[in-house]
Amino acid sequence: MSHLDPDTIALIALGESALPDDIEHVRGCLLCQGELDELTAVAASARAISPQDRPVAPPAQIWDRIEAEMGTTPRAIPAPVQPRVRRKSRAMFALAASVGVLIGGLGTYTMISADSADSGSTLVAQAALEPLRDVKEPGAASVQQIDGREVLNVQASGLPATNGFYEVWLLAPDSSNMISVGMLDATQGGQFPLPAGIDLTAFPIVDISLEQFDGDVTHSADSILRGTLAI
Amino acid sequence: MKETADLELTERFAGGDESAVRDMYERWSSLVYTIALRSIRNPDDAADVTQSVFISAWKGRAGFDPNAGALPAWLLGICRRKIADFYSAKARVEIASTQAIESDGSEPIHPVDTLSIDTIVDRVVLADELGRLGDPQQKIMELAFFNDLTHIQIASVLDLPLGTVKSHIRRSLDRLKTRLEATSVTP
Repeated sequence: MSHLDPDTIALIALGESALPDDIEHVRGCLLCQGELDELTAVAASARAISPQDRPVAPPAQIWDRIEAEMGTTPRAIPAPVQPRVRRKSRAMFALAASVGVLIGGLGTYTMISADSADSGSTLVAQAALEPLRDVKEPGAASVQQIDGREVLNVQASGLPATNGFYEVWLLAPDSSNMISVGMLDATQGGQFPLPAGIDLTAFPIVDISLEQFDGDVTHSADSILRGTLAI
Repeated sequence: MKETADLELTERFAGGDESAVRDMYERWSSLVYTIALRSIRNPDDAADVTQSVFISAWKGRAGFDPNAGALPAWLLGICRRKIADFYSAKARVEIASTQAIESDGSEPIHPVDTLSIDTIVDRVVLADELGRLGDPQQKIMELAFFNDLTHIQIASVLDLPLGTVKSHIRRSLDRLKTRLEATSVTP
């Protein structure tokens, strides 16, 4: 007799009644018996499933804790050639919401650097930084090419004193990617050398966020100033 | 398609891509958390275990050999070890407290009705896969497993051709078996 039809083996594994011939074949056939035993075990485990076995998601903050802890892990892996781009899904909703409002709404760009006339320094792009919340004065940003390196200048004198710190980011238009450029001194502004080879059209939004000393290296989603570079 | 996605994720993780951990978390954190919760029965402790599993996976990624087994099996292996660690730490505390209250007549609390970790892993993995079968397969298998209906009764209840129900049952059982094998660990 030929081997049992796989459909039939599955039904027997579920406990359905089998033809005497089929039972006799299985008894004498290692292959069919093995298959039947395996499926019977699966069915027995599945029948024992209780409602508590159904997977439930862990609390939402667990991922934040993992990401924060990973951020403090020394990187054993060599940095990729591209500038460091970290996924920031947690902050994305908040960011995307405000970016949508801002894009296209920036009509005024101010020249902020007196150095641009100097030799070896070329203005590449600039942006007005509009307050997103309780900050009175707008800031300004510009990108200059100095001796072949691009440098981001940020002026933001109206930032309030804080227990945390301010961080400068370059964001993709849809906030799906971002690069941390550095910490901003709220009293003096700052100059930030940009990674060589960065494509500013891919990261045209200058964003200043308020960060807490919480060990979380990701964007806090608490943006204070923001503007889009006119390139 | 699912296998391709898992393979791609495996390659990114093995290559040290940090964002792969996020995708692994989205894919498998419910499994890890539920296994920990079923085993430890305390949501806070289960959450801590879940966190440590993914951190350990990331830090120990050099120890992951894609040729030795599937990524979820490796991840669940870490999960088992973390749960075991939790129990041994707890046992030390309990022994200490038992010694402290040795003479006051109170009895140390021992877990009752304890399922083995293997049993818990199998059930949670199967429950997860059952939820991913899609309909009508999921409905068919639930009627077969939990309502003990025969394939003839199922075909009648769901108004499906007999042959369709039979082949769905066989394919679904095969799929559940494959999934169990993919997550079973040989320590």
